[in-house]
Amino acid sequence: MSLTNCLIVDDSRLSRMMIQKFILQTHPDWHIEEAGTGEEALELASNHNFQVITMDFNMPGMNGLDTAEQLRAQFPETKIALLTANVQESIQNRANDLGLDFIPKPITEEKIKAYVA
Amino acid sequence: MLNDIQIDAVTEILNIGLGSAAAALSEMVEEEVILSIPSVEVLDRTNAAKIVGSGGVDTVSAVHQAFSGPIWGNALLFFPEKQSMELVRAVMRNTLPLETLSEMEQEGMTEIGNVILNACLSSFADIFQNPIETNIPLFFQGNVNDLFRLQSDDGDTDETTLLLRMEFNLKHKEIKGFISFLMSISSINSFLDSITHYLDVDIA
Repeated sequence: MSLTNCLIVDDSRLSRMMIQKFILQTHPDWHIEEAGTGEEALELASNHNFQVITMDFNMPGMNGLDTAEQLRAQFPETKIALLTANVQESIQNRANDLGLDFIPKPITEEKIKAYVA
Repeated sequence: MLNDIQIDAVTEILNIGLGSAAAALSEMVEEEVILSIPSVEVLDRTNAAKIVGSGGVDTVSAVHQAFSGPIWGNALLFFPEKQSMELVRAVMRNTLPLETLSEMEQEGMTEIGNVILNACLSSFADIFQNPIETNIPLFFQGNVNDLFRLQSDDGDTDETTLLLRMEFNLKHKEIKGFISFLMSISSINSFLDSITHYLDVDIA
C-alpha cells in the first residue's frame, strides 16, 4: 500500500497540532506536512503528491477557498476538506461548488477521525 | 437611542447568534454553557468600558475580530485575565501536554475566539442572508478600557457604540466570559435595517 501524504493548512499552530495528533492516532503511517498560509500550501503542493488536505478558510493572505480552488484545478483527485469556524451558508455553498468536504470548527477528535477514516 | 421594540429585535437576533457561539464553546469544553440574558445598549465607548469594568472585570484576555458586510465593526470575546488560562486548559486538556499549555495560552485563546466569534457572526450572516467577512482574529491582553478603544479597519471613528453584551458561564468551572460588538451609528442603522428586513416588520 502506498504512503498517504496529507497537508494541514491553518494559520493557527494549535489547530495544526490538534489535527495532526488526531490523524496520526488513526494513521500513524501517514506523512503529514503543514502550511500556515494558502501561498505556502500551494508551494508545498507543487512538490508533494497530497492525497488528503485539510484547509482553514480565514488566513492571512490568500483565503482557504481561493487556495482550494487552485489546488482543486491542479489536483482533481485530492480529497480536500474546508475546516473552518466560518460556518456561513455562503461559505459552505462555495465549498460544495468546488467539491470540497466541509468540517465546521471546533476541531474535535471525532470529526477528524471520521474524515480520515 | 433604540426604542423598546428595536432592543427586543436586536436581543432576539443576539440570542440566536450567541446560542451558536455557546454551542461551539460547549462542544470544545464538553460541558454545558449557561448564557445570561443579553443586554443591548447604545453608549459611548468610555461608558461601555466602565459598565463592563463595574462587573469586576478590569484586566482581560481577549480576542477581537473585525467584520464587514451588511453590518461592520469589531467583535470582542473577553475573559477576566486569570480565567483565560483555565479556559485554554479546559479546551486543550486532551491535546497538549501540561507543560506546553502556558506557552500556548495566546494561540489557544485566539483559536477559541475564532471559533466562538465566527459561530456568532456566521449566524448573523445566515439570518440576514448576506455574507459577513471576518478578518484574522487578534489576541489582546490588558485593560478593558484599552480593549474598548480598538477601532475597526473601516475607518469609523464613531465614539458611539452598540454594546451587545452577553455573559456566559461554564457549569462546572469558574469561568465567566463576555461577548460584545463595537459598532458605529451607521453600522447600527444598517443592523436595524437588516433586522427589519428579516422580521418583515417595521421596528423604526
